[in-house]
Amino acid sequence: MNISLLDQTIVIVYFLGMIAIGASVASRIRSFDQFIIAGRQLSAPLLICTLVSTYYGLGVLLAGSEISYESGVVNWFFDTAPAYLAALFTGLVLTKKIRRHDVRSIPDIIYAHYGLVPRIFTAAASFIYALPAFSIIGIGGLFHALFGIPFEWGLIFGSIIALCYTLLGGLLAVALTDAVQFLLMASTLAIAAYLGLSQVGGIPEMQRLLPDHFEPTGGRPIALLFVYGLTSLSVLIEPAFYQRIFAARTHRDVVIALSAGVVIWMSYDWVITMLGIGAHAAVEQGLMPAPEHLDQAVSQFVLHVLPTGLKGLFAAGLMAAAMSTIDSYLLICASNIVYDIYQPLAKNKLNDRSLLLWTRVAMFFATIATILLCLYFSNVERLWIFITAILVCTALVPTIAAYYWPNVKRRAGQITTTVGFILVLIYYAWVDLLGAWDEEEIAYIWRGDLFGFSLTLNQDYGILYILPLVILTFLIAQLTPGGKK
Amino acid sequence: MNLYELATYIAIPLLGLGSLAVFIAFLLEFFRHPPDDSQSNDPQP
Repeated sequence: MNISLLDQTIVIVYFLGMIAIGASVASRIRSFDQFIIAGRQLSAPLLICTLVSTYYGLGVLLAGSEISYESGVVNWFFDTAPAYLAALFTGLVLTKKIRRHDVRSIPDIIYAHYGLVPRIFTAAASFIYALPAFSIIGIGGLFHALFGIPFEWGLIFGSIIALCYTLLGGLLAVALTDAVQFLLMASTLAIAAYLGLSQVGGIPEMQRLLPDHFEPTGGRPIALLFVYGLTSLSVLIEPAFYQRIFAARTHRDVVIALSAGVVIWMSYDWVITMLGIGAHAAVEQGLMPAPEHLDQAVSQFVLHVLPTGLKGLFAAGLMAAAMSTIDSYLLICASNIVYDIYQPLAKNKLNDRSLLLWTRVAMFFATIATILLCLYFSNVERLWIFITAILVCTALVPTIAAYYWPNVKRRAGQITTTVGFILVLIYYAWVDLLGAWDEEEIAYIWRGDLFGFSLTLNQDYGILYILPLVILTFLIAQLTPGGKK
Repeated sequence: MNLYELATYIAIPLLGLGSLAVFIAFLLEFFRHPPDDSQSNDPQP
């Protein structure tokens, strides 16, 4: 889907603009707090832009494209809607308590209540979760599709641009570039939806051609729908989400931003869903060829219906979706390494200047780690459930309990974070190494006997088994006598 | 008009015009009160 010279120029101007924004705020960054939480000065409109554009990276667009093309509105009802409830709960209820304390990250919250070891496990889980592999792979594919350059070079080039402006301006540069990226993503998608859906004859024609696509469950197994619902719990401890909430000027800004943000999220997801079904309808009508990869169905459809000039803006919007996720998560990975893991373990505490310097160095290494991960794993779709499982099983229960369980015991957090983190790793390694790929289940499955019981373990369902175990472990450690509070 | 059509007619302008309105609000605020070094206004315990 190579685009015209005019469209390519628009994309290049967008890149230069992002780097210019980073350079323009670089002189303001003089402390670690200014770099990592923008000196706690984000206002409501800027929070909306940065919350929406960070959470809606290229991964969400590609996954939404594939699911809605294949199965229809189930994408909105079961893959995205539970996340809105989790986001509202986090923003309106949880953050009010958390913002009262001087914390900068989720591991900070864990440390304040449970000590050093849980902090290290939580930071490690947060680091794994935050490596922006999906977006970096997406951007490699985009460079290849739009400019015809090799995937590997596109991946490296896109990462370097995101790294440049984030290294210069920290979270403030990320938030300012997110504002531009938010407008690009949302406005071009809205125009594309209007033109694209009209071209296939509107919703009634799509319903006539693809009636099954308008079934809310999409014919999927209930267990899988439940797993997708559970992955939305990650919003309750989403590192980028919390980072922005800590960076807000006031709690009122958070409430306004999340209330407006959820409405825009809902619209964004609905439009992607309709465009995915519209792409399928366009293929059925013979208006465009079937997409080679289903995750590219929406972008292929949109580039098919948009005129020259707007195609460039949409391409820049796609780049924006990837960039806004890469920059934010690289920042989180770096602060996990330096602030949450290295600093508490070091004998000599780093001063503010050194903390800032080493966070910038760590960002560079986090970028290299992500690029290597992307080059090693060609398919990262299944990685999403794994990284969500490790974050939720390690940090969810102790984080929520820290604020809502009176006199929470240190040992409860210590045992829970250790058990959650290690069990997820063991479960995935077990099924991966001892199980086999099952074409029917489309997953790694292990079948065998354990303690005299015949068991079948689906690798993707790990969170279903481990999260209840983690909750049980926490309750036992908390309710049995003894232990410091 | 069924519910799916209605939802789509609401979602498209909400996404397009809503994002534009938020961006304009951001620009207005950015030029009236550019980010400074002040800290959070939340009451501390």
